[in-house]
Amino acid sequence: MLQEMDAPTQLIRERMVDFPNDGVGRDGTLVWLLAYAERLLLDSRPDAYIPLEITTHLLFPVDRFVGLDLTWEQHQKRYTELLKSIETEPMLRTNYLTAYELAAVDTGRPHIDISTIEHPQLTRPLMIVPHLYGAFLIGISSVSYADWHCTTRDLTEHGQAFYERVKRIFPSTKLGLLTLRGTEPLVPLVLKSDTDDA
Amino acid sequence: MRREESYAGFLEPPSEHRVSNEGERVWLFVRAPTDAVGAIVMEPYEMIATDRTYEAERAAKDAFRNGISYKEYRKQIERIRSPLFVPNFTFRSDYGEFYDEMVSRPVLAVFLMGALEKGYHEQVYTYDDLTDDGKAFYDFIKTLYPGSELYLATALET
Repeated sequence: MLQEMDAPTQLIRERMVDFPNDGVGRDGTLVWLLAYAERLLLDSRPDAYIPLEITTHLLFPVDRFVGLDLTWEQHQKRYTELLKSIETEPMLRTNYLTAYELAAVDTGRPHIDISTIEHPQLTRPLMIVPHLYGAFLIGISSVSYADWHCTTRDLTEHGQAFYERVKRIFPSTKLGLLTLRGTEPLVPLVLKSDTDDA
Repeated sequence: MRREESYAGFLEPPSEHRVSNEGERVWLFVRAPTDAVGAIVMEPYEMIATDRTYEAERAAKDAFRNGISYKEYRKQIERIRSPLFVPNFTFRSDYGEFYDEMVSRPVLAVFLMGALEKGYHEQVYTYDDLTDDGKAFYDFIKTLYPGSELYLATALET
């Protein structure tokens, strides 16, 4: 974890996210501003020129996912349904995803999904955020929160201005706010020296 | 007002005459000042070089043309790119194979600065090849993330 609260101001000059005051843990929290290529999300206008390979993606372990503002409501609703189902469907308890994670996957597409890409040092599946013109880390907190995810209402004036600026750069940009648990890199970087091939 | 179908973004090619039928894409990478935070992302597909490594990569390519082995050439490229990109031992397919592209060291941001349907640049895009809006955006990002290193990566659209 990053060293206490001076880290955010060292990394991001302007405060863009108003985090809640009532932290409940020390895992830390990250907020990423996502710029989706909406046309690729919708797969519409197949005759229109869309340059190939104009997007990138983010990958992180599923247990770090807290919420995405674009899918939060459906995610929570599905989570509640699953919790009720667990009482009557014991099979759900043995799923390799928790109910919270499964609800996120069930309601995430096309904005977020479970990935087939694997990480050699992680045992949990990775989630993928596809079709991105880009992503910006806009918030870091050294604490974690109960039942909080970042929405546009949590952006400061600087955050709102940056949000609007990014939105205008490319056609059909759709923005999202991704909240993750922990402040460490989204996945561990594996160097050649860490492998048997070194 | 930007045309709805335009992906030129912040790019201002040095010439109006195309030099290739292959398109160009330019990405901005913000390399974190610490490895303790950030995202690990794949190198852009068909990346030529970054603005900060182009000259060294071109020298390595010249050396390859003049006789150094491919293995030695790749070793040089890996060394040159190592402040931002490293060989991929991080992401592998469900078949157990690591993807060929390099991966970034932790970055605080990655963003497409523009994509053009044809190639207009003989080399790679640099700060000077951005529009005024592009330069303003780049400058803002540089100020936003103090201590970070910014790279412009140019890739072909094949």
